[in-house]
Amino acid sequence: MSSASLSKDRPPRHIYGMVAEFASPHALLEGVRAVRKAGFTRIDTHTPFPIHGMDKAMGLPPSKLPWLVFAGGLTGAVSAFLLQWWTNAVDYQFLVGGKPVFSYQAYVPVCFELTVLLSAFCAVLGLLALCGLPRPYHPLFLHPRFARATDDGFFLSVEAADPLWDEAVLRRVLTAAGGSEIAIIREAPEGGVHV
Amino acid sequence: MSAQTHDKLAELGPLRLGKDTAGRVSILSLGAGALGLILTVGAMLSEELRDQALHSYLVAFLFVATLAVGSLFFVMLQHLVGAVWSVTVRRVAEIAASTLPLLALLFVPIAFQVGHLYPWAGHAAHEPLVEAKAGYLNTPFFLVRAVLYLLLWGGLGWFYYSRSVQLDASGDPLLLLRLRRLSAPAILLWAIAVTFAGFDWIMSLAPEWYSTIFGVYVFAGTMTSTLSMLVLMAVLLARQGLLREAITTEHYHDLGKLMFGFVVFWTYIAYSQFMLIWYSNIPEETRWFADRWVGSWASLSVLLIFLQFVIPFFGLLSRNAKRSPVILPVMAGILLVGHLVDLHWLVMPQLHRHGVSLHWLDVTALVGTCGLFVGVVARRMSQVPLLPVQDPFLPASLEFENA
Repeated sequence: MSSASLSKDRPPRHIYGMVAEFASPHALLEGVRAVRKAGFTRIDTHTPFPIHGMDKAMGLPPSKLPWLVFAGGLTGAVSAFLLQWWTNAVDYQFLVGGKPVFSYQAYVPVCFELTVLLSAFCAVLGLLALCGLPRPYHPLFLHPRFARATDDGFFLSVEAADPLWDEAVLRRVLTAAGGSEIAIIREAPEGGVHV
Repeated sequence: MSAQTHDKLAELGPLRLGKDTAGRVSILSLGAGALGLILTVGAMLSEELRDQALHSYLVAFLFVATLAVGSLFFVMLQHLVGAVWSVTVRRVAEIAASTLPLLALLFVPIAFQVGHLYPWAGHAAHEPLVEAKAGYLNTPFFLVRAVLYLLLWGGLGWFYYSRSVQLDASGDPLLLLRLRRLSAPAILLWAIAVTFAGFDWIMSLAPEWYSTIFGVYVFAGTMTSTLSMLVLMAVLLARQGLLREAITTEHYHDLGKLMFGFVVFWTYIAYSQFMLIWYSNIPEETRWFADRWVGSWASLSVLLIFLQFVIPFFGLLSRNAKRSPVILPVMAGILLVGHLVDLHWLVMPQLHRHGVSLHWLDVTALVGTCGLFVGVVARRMSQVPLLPVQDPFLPASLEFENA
């Protein structure tokens, strides 16, 4: 698609993958199933909103995020407890209100708050990390129609790194599954994109 | 009913508990219940057993009452928020709440023995701190309030149940709209009644003590136990081959989320109540917790934390646990037992001041109230469909899936 914009003396750009558009969320679900049935694994979908059943259709494994959040929460609770115990009961013993220096009853609010805080940090940062964000550049952004993925476009992309990658076969599968506007996406040229 | 809905309902199989099963369960439960009630109420007439019988009966009454009153809240909440997912679970809760007019009768033995059960009407009436509260804590006003709570719950419980059954026949969506409009003011009144019933029936057992958060604490326990009961009811019905395709993993998952949420809520409220009293360390406030740290009561206090918080919190934390046909019912069972232990822990230290002391009347009272409740629920499950068959949101609820 973009070959016309390339002058002949520049080196050929690596192919990132192939992208196809579908008319509706349902058509995209069917498209994903067809492409997976044909054996392709390095696929992704790009839609304006979450589509019900897409995780299952794409065969995505359960997210690892809950474990990150659990680890964060546990770290928060334990470190809050140790901090209070060390400062109040060991390092600088200080009587408050006639209570014992080790008054674990009073530690709960801080433990609770730090559990919530570190869980939230792990949820947000873990989400970004697992999604590979922030990511200012992606080859798909060079596709002129791709902006519609945030509006009314339902895209399916297959990476060239897929072990079964074959342009002709893939194009046939995508067309048969109802995909349109099928295009090859190339990496940006050396030295960046010049628009 | 559209043809499509009709087909879908036909696929669900029988929608009522079989007459044989229902008859067997209800005769057995009502029989055992009647025996339990006769023994317990009879014991109230004996000078020697009266105090034990009254306290045991109060725990047993509160256990069943909170389950029915919580079911009423569940039903009204679903109407209030216009929930679609819960339509398949709603009828079971409606049936549980429909027992409220009958359960109101179970208050009668308490009403006749106020002076023996509540110190403010008996031996502690002339303590200075209690005398100062006599404007609120006096027997006539206590009984008037109790009648108001029971009328409100009984009326609402029956109203939401009977109108929903009416909807089965007429399919009139305006009826649903009326239930929905009523739910907001009704929940407000319900909450006030639960708060003050908690003050009157439980907190006033220690008339010198007070905790402004106590009503919320009762509400939290009411909800953990009610949701657990709904899960267990659905599991038992599924064992009878009922509602298997209607209450699916997705619905259990949502009930599990609510259970988990209320476990955290109970813990938050229970700790908030404890923390402020522990921290300020004022004798007439700390005494109540000190009473629950005497002898074996301390072990029960720790057990309570495990039953109502530690085990269900970690047990229900994972999504897989909430969707598990094993873990979720087990946690529901633990929470139901936890609620019973909670009520015992709230009431009994006022009678047995030196440590936990179980009595056969604890068992007869519980069999009595639970038997009545189960018997009536089982009978009703054979009389009306277990799904609101004409509810316009039923098809969507049947197909509901968690994202």
